[in-house]
Amino acid sequence: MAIDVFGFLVEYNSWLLSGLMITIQICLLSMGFGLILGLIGALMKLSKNPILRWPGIVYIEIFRSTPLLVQILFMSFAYPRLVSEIFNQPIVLGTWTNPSSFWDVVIVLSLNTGAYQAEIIRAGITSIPRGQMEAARAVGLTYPQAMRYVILPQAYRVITPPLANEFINLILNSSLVSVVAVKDLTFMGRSLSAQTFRTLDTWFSIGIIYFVLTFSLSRLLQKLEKKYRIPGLGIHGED
Amino acid sequence: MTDPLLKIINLRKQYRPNEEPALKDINMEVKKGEVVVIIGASGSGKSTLLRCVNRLVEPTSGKILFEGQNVLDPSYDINQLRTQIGMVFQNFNLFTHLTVMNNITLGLTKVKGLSVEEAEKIAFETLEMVDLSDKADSYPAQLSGGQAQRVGIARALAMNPKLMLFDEPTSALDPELVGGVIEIMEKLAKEHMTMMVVTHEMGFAKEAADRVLFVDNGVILEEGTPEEILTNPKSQRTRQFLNRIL
Repeated sequence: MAIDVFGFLVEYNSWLLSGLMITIQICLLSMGFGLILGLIGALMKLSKNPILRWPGIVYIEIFRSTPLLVQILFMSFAYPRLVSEIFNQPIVLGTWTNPSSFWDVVIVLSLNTGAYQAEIIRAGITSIPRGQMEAARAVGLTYPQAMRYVILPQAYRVITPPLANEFINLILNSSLVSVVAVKDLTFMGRSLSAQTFRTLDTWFSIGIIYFVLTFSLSRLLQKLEKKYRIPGLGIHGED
Repeated sequence: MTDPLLKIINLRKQYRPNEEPALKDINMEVKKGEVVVIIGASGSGKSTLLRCVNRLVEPTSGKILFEGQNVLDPSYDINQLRTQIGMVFQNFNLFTHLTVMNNITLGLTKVKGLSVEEAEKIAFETLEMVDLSDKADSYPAQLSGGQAQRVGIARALAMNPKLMLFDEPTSALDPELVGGVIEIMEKLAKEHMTMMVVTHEMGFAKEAADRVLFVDNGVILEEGTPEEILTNPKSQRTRQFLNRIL
């Protein structure tokens, strides 16, 4: 039995590429929506107003305390049934764009990563010393201005490394969407392995592609981290 | 007789119920151009008193009149008030992610709505006043404590406030760096800046204060000229405190 990963990559490049594109699209969309949800969730959870704080806490805890796979399966199978029961309508699977459940999984992944990002952002904001907010308010900045110009730019630098980690987790976790027939990279791996019987070549190739994707992202984020470092602050290997 | 710039009436602050209030019935006033030094042991309520003036701490009850208007009125524009009251903190609280220049211009551009050019001109002038114009492009973490506090003063001064609050401005400094900060505060006092200063620097109180208040356990125990309070205190408690720190 021969291993020819390179030949496999060349031969089936259009399949692999189309899977990779779906994976990238899902991840970019979920990262973007997740970041917005994360920021809103963090600010809600930090709010003194219980009407804002409690929904924030409930959202974060629900998505952090159930498995992602269960969330994906719920969205794909239980949610359509729930809708049909409530509105007394026949079941439509792939709620948003039939027959693909692309948007279903984007929504689930966004909500899931949003909950984790909310906790990361909240921790970043609370790590900024209280005096920064006091000084900002003392100059006359409003609370939103103080957040925007003083707290978040500092929190941003604390948040970047764990957020980068979360982005990488998101890419790897997105492989779970293949179980609900979204034609992502992992789904392509499963079809190729079933059709070609080249199991080793397939899963080596899929693994390599995921590795290149996440590794280059983490290098990029490390560069950004260095670039936005505040001179004279923190512990660094050099200077 | 002119109205005082700041008048505090029956001010009370209780942080938590069932706890002793931090401030009990404070009455005082500060006239325009006056330098009032507040002394007292830690935990006596002197910092709380200072923070109530610009409402960084929300008083429980009482009145604070700034130019005759009650700043505790719900309709009073608190951010407008804060542009007129500069504050200098014990730990400087410079914005660590901004250069010295941008620390000063942030309030000018975002609160006062000045153009970047105008703001930088003002920032440069105030930096010259505190003798740090060469540090405009440095970051706070690259400054010594004394330099950082002078930037803190410049940041507050740039807003052109009517009243300056100093919350133990030299307590976090190495002894040899205290002088530079005190020098600037004395210069401000000579230029008739209205100041409320919480400090343990009795030298500054003697040199620059018009009045000294001794705060103990949430009340103003004694009040008078620096000579009266520092050299000839009436109450036993004040004498005890001064003996301990001098």
